[in-house]
Amino acid sequence: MIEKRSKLPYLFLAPVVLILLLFSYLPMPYSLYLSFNKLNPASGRYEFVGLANWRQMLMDSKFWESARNTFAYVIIFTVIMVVLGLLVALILNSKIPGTSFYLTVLFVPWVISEVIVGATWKWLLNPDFGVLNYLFGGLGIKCSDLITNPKFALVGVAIVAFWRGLAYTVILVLAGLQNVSNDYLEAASLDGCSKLQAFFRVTLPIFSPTLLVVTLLNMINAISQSGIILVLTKGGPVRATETMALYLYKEAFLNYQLSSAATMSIILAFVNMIVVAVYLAANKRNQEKEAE
Amino acid sequence: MKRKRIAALLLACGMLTGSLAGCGGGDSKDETLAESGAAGGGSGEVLTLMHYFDPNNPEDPYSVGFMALIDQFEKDTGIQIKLETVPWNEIESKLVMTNQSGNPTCDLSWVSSQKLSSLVNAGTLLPLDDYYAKLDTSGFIQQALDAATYAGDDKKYLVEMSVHSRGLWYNTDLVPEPPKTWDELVEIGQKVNDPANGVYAFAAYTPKSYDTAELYLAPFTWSAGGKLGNEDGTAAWDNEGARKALQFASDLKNKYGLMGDSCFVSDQSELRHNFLNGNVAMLLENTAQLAEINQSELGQAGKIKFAPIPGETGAAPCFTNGWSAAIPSHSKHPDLAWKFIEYMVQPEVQIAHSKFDGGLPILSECYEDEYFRSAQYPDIADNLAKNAGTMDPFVYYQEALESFSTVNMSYMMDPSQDLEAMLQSSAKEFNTKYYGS
Repeated sequence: MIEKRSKLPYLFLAPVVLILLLFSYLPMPYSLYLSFNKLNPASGRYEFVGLANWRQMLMDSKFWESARNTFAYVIIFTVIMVVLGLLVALILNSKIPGTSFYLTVLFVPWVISEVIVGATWKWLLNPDFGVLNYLFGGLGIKCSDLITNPKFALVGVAIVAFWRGLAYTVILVLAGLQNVSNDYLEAASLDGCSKLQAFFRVTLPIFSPTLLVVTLLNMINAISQSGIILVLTKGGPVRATETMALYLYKEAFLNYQLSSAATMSIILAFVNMIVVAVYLAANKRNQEKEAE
Repeated sequence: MKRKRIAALLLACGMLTGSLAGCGGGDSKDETLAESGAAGGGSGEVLTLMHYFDPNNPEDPYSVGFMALIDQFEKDTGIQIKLETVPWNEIESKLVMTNQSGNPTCDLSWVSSQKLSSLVNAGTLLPLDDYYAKLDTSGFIQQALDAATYAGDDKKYLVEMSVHSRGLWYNTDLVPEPPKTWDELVEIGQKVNDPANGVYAFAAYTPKSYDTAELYLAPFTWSAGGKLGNEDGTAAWDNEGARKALQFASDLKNKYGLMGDSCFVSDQSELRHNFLNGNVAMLLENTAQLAEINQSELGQAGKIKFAPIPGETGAAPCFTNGWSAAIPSHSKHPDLAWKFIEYMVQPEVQIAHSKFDGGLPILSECYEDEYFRSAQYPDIADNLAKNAGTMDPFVYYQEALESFSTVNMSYMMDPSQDLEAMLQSSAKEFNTKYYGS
């Protein structure tokens, strides 16, 4: 008997696919078009200018500065998130009492909007009237440096973004850790391995594909991060936290230079695509390994 | 099974409708007080006006005041106004995006005059010189005419509806007499500065933003005999006056400790609240905040006064701007739009508008009205008459001022740097990027 394929799944997918088409995929060719054209203010029409926009972008020191900031932010954020996320997940995986409660508490920042998170932390870190300087000032720690000092501002933004997004990483890591069979750990223990040795020699190798996927997902999030940065520092101090996403937003919506913004968006999309391609390949390898 | 399919189909349609609910329409409000109360008869033409106030909010004095003006216009001309409400900080973006599609959603829009260059560079605004030729502008204050003129082609692209300037607001409990010069600012500031007890002598919005330059960096530079830009729009801030201005700004914070770090990160509203709470003795701020300032506890007690920005040797020139009426370049009804503008620049309408707007009228004869001789208006009007200036003629206005403000912020954060070299490097970078020179 031949089974008739149900059309129901396609119906449920239709709204999402339509929105993705309208707001993500169809505008992409238009962005590419804009990157090779420039608005003539007198005529109000876009005119073909070849590679002029690309040349201007490559010669723009602010673009390179934003590219460096993006790279640095991705590294800082990903390292903090993966290392501390793994640590928290390991603690929660050790069957301590109240795990569900801790997980719930961890998720509270995740459900708060980025704008509110940025605005709240901005007040907490205010250099003159913020509560953190008041609490730690006596210990000689100036917490406000995290948003006022160009040397530390990227770290400050990464910490706030980490605070908000920790739960997401912990859940993913926890799921991966729970796939590591206890039999291996028991066998390692019988062979005389300490807990630390067991982690590095047994858990980590089995768990590494999941860790790679988590790392890549965090990198993808970091590349496009703009909401928290916009509210917390607006790209300051002195452009120290102005990432490509933020520079692009400014060019498009504050300076109304759509051609310049479109050119940058192509670069940003290309970088994202590379990371996503690596993520998909790693995920596929992970699934094949699990199937074995 | 059939019921399940119907239920699934309805659910999918519901999801689709729900997810598209945020699209289209936007903040347009078709049902406005104006439409519901509009008089019948007349031309029957409809003018769409994009503005930032909510016409359905009777608690907002601006809304009530503006709707009364609209009602009168409709009665006088028979032209109906359809309001499109957009948040004030999104109005220019929406105008640019919709106009570039060739189909703007309005015939006339309120825009900030500071954004003139950016809007013209984006091909958004209709030149108004032909309309201005029919208007008697002899009674306009010069700042309003200058603010309407684009440096790139000397054409006028908007009509200012009210004028806001900048100055020094001071708390008379802490500062009985305002400073007039930089030296006096330091002297008075040092007497009241008490950061340990949460009181800073001075505050001014200082991020790397174009409004920082408008607020005090440009005035300080002009007062020291310097300039920011050349007549052709190129950067010229690598001069001694600009260097002195930025050095003094840095000294206020680093040498004398009169400014807190919050000036770098706080919004203007946050700094204003610090001032109104008594944590700041003197604040450089826009006069547009007059109503809020006077509604505060200190304001109601008459303890907040206004003075010109202190300059190197006397009052500094101040920058002025204001919300303005502009016609999109693809507007379908430019002539109708101009009729509303002509109505709004009549003396009695200007006076009525200024009363709920908080700014000053653009017609000099309006200043004779009793209202503008009350509260801090005489001081503000006096400052406007004696010290108001216009920004140097930048074509890439926001970009230029932001570059200059970035040098200031960078130097304030690390005064060990070579300020002169920073100014030269910044000016050269700007000129290379935008002028290839």
